[in-house]
Amino acid sequence: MSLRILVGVKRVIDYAVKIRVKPDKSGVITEGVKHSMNPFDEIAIEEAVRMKEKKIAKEIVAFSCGPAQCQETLRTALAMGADRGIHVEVAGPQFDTLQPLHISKMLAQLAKDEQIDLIIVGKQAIDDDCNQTAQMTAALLDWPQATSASKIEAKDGSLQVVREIDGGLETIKVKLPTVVSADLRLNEPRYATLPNIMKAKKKPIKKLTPKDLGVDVSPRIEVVTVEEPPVRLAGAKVENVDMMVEKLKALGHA
Amino acid sequence: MRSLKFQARLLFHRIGISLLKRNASSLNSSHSKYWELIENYTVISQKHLTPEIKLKLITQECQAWNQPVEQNSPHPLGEPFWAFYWPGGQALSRYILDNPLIAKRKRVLDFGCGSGALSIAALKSGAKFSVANDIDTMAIAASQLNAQINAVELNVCEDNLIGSDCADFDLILVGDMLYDSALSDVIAAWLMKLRLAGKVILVGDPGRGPVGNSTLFANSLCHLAKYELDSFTKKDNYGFLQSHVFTLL
Repeated sequence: MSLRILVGVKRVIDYAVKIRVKPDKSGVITEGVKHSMNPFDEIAIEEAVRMKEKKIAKEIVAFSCGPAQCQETLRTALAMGADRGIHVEVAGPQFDTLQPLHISKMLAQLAKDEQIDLIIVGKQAIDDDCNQTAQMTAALLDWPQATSASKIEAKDGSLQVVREIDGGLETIKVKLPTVVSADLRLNEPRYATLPNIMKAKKKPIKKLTPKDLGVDVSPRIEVVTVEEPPVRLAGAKVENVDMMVEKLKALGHA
Repeated sequence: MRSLKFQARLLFHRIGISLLKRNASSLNSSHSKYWELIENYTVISQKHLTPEIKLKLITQECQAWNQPVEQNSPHPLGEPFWAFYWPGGQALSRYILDNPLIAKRKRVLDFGCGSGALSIAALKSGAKFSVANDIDTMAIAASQLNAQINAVELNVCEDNLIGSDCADFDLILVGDMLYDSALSDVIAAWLMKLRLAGKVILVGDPGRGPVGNSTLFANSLCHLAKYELDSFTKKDNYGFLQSHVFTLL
């Protein structure tokens, strides 16, 4: 097997940052805030690199869509072991309304243009939690999909994937080409070391526009309002279980 | 009575020497305050295409090689391109050492010198002088340290020379500098201008994006040599097995 893998990597607000909503409720504050690669996408890249090390894959192409700073995210992917990057530049208000459908269309077009055998993305992004991109991409390409993957094995020209589902684990076999989305327990991503980071600076990143891929990035969804969750009210202490039941009934919860 | 032309040439020669002397007065040690930092992170390596040149590099024995670097946090060495001996530079150094007449008695510019390996190769081949040029102060420091280790005398320049007419140079060496597509276009245009002015341009590259598959130099690149990379370099530069030397026609 000698697969060419396309991995989508998203630049998101770092998981450790405290999110603050904009005063006008139009979104969250992103300016001046620390960003990094979506953790599920790190897992996706790691899996692709492990497949290359096992000689199942021959080339890894990392893709990111967004403003100029996405190049940093791509450099991280290159430092982890991707071979080259593709940056579709979308900035400003157009970027604010970017949605999974747009990304799926870009992934689908790139899969055709670059002769991709396998697309791996994180199962969801930690900013929008959509969990849609992998599924829509597969549908657009009419490819099979294996989402929430916690284990991937290459067997006899197809992939055997263990999926994390509500009831436990499900093992499926998918033919190639296919789309896979990475779940938390798929692997533990490596840290980039200095020589890899330096080498990543010399790996190529191709720049494209949505138009180059024939994708219209006008939004299909409008964000009406973004609000913080309600402040948690103080609780009350009761003496025993009977009193708790009484209290619950009084508050209309039982 | 010497001719006016001769006197003019003598004058220019003296100006040239005094310019050099400005750099030469602290030859090899103007940036020595950075040497301790460099020594902390690097070791002397001869595991490359030019083992006759000893270079202070970050190799697999070094802690810096194996230690993970946190996303978003800068390394104490900055961006140490100079701590690695890039395949493009290796091929060109090898070519210079194998064909000493190319650099002999020439006034050499080592553009984007990094570790200074190309300057050292040129000086060992009898170049009149070599200017190691890099906008990174640490690269200048590293080049001076490597020059001292290899017992050659190096000139340095920390200015961004892209676009300059290089009147003081005959031979321009470009080792693995064509990895960024935007920068490559600018560098290529400048080098083609220098070629028109009669300079000899030599480029070492393993076949990265721009040189590998495009018409970056408007088809005026002439392939001179190909070298098989050694096993250490191959391991470090996944995907590259050879490196090449080109000249501009």
